[in-house]
Amino acid sequence: MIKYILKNENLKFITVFFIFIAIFSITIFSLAVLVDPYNIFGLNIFRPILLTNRSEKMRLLREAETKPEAIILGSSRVFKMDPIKIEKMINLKTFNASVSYARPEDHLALAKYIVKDLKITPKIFIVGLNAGEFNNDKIDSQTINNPDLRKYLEINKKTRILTLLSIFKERFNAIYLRDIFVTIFWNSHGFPNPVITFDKNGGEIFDKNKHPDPNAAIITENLAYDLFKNLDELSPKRKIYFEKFLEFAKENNIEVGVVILPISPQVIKNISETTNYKKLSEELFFQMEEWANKFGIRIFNFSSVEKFDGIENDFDDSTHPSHLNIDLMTEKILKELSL
Amino acid sequence: MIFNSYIFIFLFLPLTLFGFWFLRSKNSRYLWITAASFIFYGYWNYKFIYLLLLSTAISFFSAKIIIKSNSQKKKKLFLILSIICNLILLGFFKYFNFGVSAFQNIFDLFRWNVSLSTLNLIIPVGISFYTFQSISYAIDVYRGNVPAINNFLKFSAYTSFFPKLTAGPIARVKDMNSDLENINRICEPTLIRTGISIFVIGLFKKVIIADSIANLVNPLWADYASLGFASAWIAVLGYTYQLYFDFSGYSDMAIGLGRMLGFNLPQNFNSPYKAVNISDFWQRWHITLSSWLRDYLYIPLGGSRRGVSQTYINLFITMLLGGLWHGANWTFVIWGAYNGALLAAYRAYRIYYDKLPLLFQRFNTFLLVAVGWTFFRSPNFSVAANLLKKMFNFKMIIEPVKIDYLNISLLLLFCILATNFLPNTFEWRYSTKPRFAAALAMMAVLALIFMNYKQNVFLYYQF
Repeated sequence: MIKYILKNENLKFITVFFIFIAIFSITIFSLAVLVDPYNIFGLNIFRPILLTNRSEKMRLLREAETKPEAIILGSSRVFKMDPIKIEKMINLKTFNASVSYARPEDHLALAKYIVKDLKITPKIFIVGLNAGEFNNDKIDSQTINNPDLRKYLEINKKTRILTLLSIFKERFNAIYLRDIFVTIFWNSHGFPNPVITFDKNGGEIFDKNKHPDPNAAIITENLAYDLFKNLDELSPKRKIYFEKFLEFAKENNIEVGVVILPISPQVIKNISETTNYKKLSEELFFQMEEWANKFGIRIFNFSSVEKFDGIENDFDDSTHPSHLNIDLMTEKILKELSL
Repeated sequence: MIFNSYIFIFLFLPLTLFGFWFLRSKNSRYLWITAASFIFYGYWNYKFIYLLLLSTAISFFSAKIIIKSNSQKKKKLFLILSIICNLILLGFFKYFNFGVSAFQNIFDLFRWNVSLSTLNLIIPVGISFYTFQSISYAIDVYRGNVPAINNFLKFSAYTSFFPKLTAGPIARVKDMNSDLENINRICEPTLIRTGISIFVIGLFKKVIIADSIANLVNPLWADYASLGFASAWIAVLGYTYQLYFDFSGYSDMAIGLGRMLGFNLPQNFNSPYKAVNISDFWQRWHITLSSWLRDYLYIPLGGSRRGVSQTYINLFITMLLGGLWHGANWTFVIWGAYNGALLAAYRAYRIYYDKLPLLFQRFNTFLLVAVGWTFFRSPNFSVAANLLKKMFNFKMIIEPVKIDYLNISLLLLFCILATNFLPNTFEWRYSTKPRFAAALAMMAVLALIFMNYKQNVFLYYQF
């Protein structure tokens, strides 16, 4: 058979073609798993190139000299919520435990980790979120790969592997391929200065005199679109996670203040035409009211800038309010909380 | 289904090839190809399979009557019937709403109180291609250029042949008849080898080159109002290359697939951006459509046989209708008229034009074609006019928008070099050397990874 193939140059060509397809595929797949630029598989052979702030925030919490009494949860959209400002106004030691791409399951897992593992029972959780965080995205691989968080989400091994593989399938593209080499290069030549750094209290360190580009929101409109695309209703799974989080907080007598965060007004206008943004935002508000009745949580609906007298075009990008807008929201929340 | 999808590459294609070469008899292979093609087509929307069947049946039975009848009148009647039926199918789905809107505009202009309503129609994929094939078959049988096909299975394998079904090449019966007749041939490894080679090159052109250009220039087109001089040119030049690599990539894949099944589909592109004049361009771009328009429209209109001014009119009409064939939108009509005018102008002044330096001729032709694509890509006339204004407004040199100059310049440079200096698919010598197989495998793996970003539909699917 092999002799026959080797004699016929066409058959030899076809065989070589498929052998090389196999070789290249296996090589690239192995590199993708071992280098793991986005920390999907959690092998940690190479330092990943994206923000892995779950572990960092958890470490900062563990190392905190004084146990925080107020804890901020949420995604990167509340990175700039200032713990010192909150401390000054309500006289509670505050920690910003917000993490990138946080979803309701992260709030539940972090809250349980804080209370059960770190033995910290804060007086209040301030949670920043928006309807987009109740989308159908997969659970973040950083959450699944973190054993201290994973254990609180009741994810079995099979689901864990399947979720990681499906995240890999979604993300494995040309950019991933490029980032394999970027990861290797940065690991061997040193990483550039981190884009985002955190203070001991979990708050983001940034230049307060720097103001966002007025076009930033429009340029990054796709970020907002991606949160809402193909979404007809709030994810039932994520609603369950959030309800479990509220139940847990109630059991431990922790007050919860939910801040519904805004996205840029220019972007709202555009994505309202291409997604179910308005319907989903209403659904979230009604759901929050229901939870407010059930669990006694406080809701701060700042889904649009007018609701907190915010600055219309002051957004770092389409979904991230600037520090000025975050400060305005914080002041409104604290005024009501201290009342 | 599209060629650059995992379901096509990993499931549909291997199964189709295996079944095809496993079966031996002619009829079983005709049936297999027809069934596979219907699945390929129905995967997009199974409800439209009946249209394909209807178009096939109309042409098959009309041709049978044409060939059997002794009466010239009857032959002509059935030819006209076949053409009209196919045009009704095409016209209804593709042009009904366009026609209604046009009439409504006229009524509104004259302030006549008439209100017409449009229908919620979906344009069936590939309808422009398979109706044109059916029409050409009936005409060719009537003219005696090809024999009528007596086997319905054979004819439906021809009309529905999936590699060319949705976006061409527009293969006529004369192009495929001998391969259809010899469909029961044994599988030759050389066919599979060249088929794979051409398919992979086409996939690479589409997924890696055309889609990468699209990712860079689509945001510019979306934000056309903020563009300046340079960004407007980048948007137009980017689209010029995107369209070429997208469509020629698709054609290569279709030709490669045809080869794997033992069919030699006709060449559709012959390095069009190497053209030295507009007439040359149209002999190199979408060759199967150009030759269809020439044989079934331009020549019947009189071609160049009825005097100089009639020739210009014929050229203009042919290109105008060719433009309209691409889509029910005034921008396509303008694009067609623009090309018709260029062809007529070239014909009038070619004795002077042909004496100009070749490099200038080539550059000039490319620019004229690129300007034409502005209408082709724009959703309406005002977008095209806005962009053209910016392209020729030298006061707008300072760019208002941020552009990824490095990536786009590298990509455009690659495109310029590739389209001007590399051989095209039909000029390329497909080596049997293992190192070529390895290079091709690398291209295939890269294309499969790039595909995961977004399986972009081919630009010509919309026509």
